[in-house]
Amino acid sequence: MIVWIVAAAVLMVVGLGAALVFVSRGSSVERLVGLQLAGVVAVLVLIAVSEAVGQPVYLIVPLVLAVLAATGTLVFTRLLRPGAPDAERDGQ
Amino acid sequence: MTVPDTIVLVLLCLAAVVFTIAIGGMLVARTVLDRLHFMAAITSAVAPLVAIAAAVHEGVTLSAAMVLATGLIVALSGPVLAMAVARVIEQEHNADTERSPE
Repeated sequence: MIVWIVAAAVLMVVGLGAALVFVSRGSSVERLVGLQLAGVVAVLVLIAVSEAVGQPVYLIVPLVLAVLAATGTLVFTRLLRPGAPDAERDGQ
Repeated sequence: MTVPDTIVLVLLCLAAVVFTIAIGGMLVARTVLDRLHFMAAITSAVAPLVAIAAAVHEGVTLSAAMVLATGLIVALSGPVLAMAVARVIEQEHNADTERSPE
């Protein structure tokens, strides 16, 4: 159990800290990479926390998050593409 | 310490090493494409390692299948997302070149 708590803590501090740095600076695409990292790290943290507390039922949360995070990133790539309606509006 | 506990510990230590190297690489990388390469290491190696460790910890149960499915989704979606982001970067680069007066 203690190893899972340590894993969750390391993932949270190192991973989410780095993701916070990436999403707070740079261009939109650079921030998107930070968002992708945050999604993956959040999935791993939730798995570790679920194992740490000994509640396997909680594993449904990272499963759903993994699907939604990937889908959300794909939507952002579509919106950030040059020529997309929002991108043209921002460029004017 | 039992054999499954040892396997879990080894897998998590391996995941921690790869994760630390990848995060360090992402922090020192200069371009977004370099960061995407390190991101691929996290999605393709760290996530499956953690998922396998959790599955070993759970044993042969439905929860183990669920966590393995989660790791599989992350591992499969990682290259797809990296390719999608890289395509946006390339399109932005081409758009900037077309707008250039030269």
